[in-house]
Amino acid sequence: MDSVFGFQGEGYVCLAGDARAINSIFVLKQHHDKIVQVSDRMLLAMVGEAGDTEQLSEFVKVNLRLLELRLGHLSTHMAANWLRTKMAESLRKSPYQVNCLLAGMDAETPALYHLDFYGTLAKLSFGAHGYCGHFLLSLFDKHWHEGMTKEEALPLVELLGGELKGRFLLHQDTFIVKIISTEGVETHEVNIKGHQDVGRPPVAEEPVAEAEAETEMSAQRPALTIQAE
Amino acid sequence: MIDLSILSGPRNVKPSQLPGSISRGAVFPLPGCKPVEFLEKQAYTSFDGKKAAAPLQHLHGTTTLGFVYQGGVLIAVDSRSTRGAFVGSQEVKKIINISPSIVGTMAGGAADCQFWESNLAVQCRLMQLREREEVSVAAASKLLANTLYKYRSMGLSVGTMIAGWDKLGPALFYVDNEGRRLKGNVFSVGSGSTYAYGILDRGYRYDLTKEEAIELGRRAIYHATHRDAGSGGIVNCVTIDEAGAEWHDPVDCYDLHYGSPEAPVDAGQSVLANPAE
Amino acid sequence: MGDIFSMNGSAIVGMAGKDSVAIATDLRYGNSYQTIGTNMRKVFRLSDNLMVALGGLATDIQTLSAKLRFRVNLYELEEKRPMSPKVATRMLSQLLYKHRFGPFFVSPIVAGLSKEGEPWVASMDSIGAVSDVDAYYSEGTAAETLMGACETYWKEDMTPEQLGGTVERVIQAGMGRDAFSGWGAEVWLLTSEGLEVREVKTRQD
Repeated sequence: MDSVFGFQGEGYVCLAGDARAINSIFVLKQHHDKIVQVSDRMLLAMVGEAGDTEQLSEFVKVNLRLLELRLGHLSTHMAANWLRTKMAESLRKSPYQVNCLLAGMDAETPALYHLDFYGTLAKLSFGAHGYCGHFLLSLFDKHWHEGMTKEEALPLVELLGGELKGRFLLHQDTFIVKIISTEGVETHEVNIKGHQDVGRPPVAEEPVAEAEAETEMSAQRPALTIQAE
Repeated sequence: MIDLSILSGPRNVKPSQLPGSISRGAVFPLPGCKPVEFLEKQAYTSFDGKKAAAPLQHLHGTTTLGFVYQGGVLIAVDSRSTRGAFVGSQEVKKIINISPSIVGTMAGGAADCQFWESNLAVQCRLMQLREREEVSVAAASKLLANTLYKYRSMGLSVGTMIAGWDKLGPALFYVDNEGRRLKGNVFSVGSGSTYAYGILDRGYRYDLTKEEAIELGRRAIYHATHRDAGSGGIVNCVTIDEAGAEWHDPVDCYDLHYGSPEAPVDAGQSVLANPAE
Repeated sequence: MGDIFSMNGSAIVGMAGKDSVAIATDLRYGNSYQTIGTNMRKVFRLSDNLMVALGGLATDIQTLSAKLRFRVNLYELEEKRPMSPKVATRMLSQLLYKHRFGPFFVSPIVAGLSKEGEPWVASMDSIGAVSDVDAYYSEGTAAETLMGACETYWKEDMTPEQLGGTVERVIQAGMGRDAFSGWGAEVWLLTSEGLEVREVKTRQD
């Protein structure tokens, strides 16, 4: 039920996640960060089993550091493929039930990788995990474009968040946004304000009209007789 | 005198008395299974009310949408019908005429929608003759909701929008197989509906012109077909206003994506301009 | 769909012509009905005259292609000669059977040219039973519809140009009737002159 999405822009990658930690039918925490900085140039956004996300982020953090020390350098491509291999290996033993988005900067070049818990890796311009994909992918198709500037990033998150607040059952309204670029990582919080009801009539519905329509149909209702006392 | 004894039952007749086909028909082997058990496995709900193990696969997967705008009501639908991964058809007609100024859409079981909406058309025509008045959208949708309510929990699969114009103006109702009936201004139904809602919610205003409404409807369906494997084919669109129902040219999703000579593609995106911008 | 083979969706077809082989694959990466990406490659070049297309579960396609590349490279370093498609087929079969009790959910097609320039197209199931060494074969969620198109369009001794055109028509026809594959396709045409990769413009719904 958690929402995590991200997209690539000109010289940056933007990741966003809803701010709630939920359990069953209640909210455990109102301000929970689902995006972890796993190296100085990489962010990992995760949704999935609570314990697994915690474990995976720690595992990735220390191993990326180790790989970097061993190899001297580490590109986002290498990190993504390393993580893919680890998740695919664990798939038939004890899988991490975590879907993630890996964002990184290689010098000036941004990169976004989409990884599901099976270990399928896809390099995408934008992606989403969880139910939010059903609501957001068409909006990405329409509103994302090549070479998006940093100024366009937060308005796009607001637009996507507005859709989630209006249509998704959980109407999530607070999103933690992290943008990684050559300048490092910046964190924002996006709050969706206002009532997101698109179908609401612009003018007050005329009660007379509705009543008239209902009377007309009353003859068609299933027989329901109440005895007068 | 003609021998009519065969009418009293095949058992009274010697096979030699009958033409070949009837004599063979009189005795036939049972299928290699118990029919009741077979049906219980295949039906949506078995006779004891339990959920079936392997329900029959009917045609499924759809994106349909409808909205009310200042001048009338618009319905746009895709045209794909799938059975699992198999694309059964790319040119299904998912808008069904109910009356000259009312249409219904098709999502869920194709057969259920086709049958019960045709049945609704009959009911509406009879009601019109009886009352000497055009049937209202509210009444038409209530008739369908009542019918479906009678058959609830029998495994029907219907998700439809009844849209039209009556003496009160444009109207749009959502009706489904559980008997739920909702009046509203914006609805989308089917496996691709969430994608369509994304485009619809950002582009919808009540004061859209007819041209803008058609553009928005088509674009929302196109974006849904791009992301939803169950939707695709061509986009059919109808608007209903005071002058009655107007059917607009069907557009192939291929042309909406790549552009066509009549409508060149703009910046690699959909050919459609955003009326909200 | 419940079936793990059809979760991500794929359409792959291999076909032999005269002194040439071709593989066509779709580019969709989906999760059931949702299309996530439209740039997932499902065909891999393992050697100069050898390519393998994998249909089925996307993660296993990626895992297996890496394992295969490792094995072919090691073989060629040790033997100091390119691996023939026949050997590659047997090797892949062994690799798949090694995982008999926890198989990779893939359906492979091996295509290539032998040292003598003979075309080779072979397919197998997910645990390595080589089912067909023939002129054409298809796998993936669109396998049935692709096979029908193959039966219709295939002719003996096609020139490379004809072969390229034919597999393109086949993949278009096959994907058109399969909801879980499509969203772009590519044709890999292998001749004695080398490998040619063509993009196919397809429907995006």
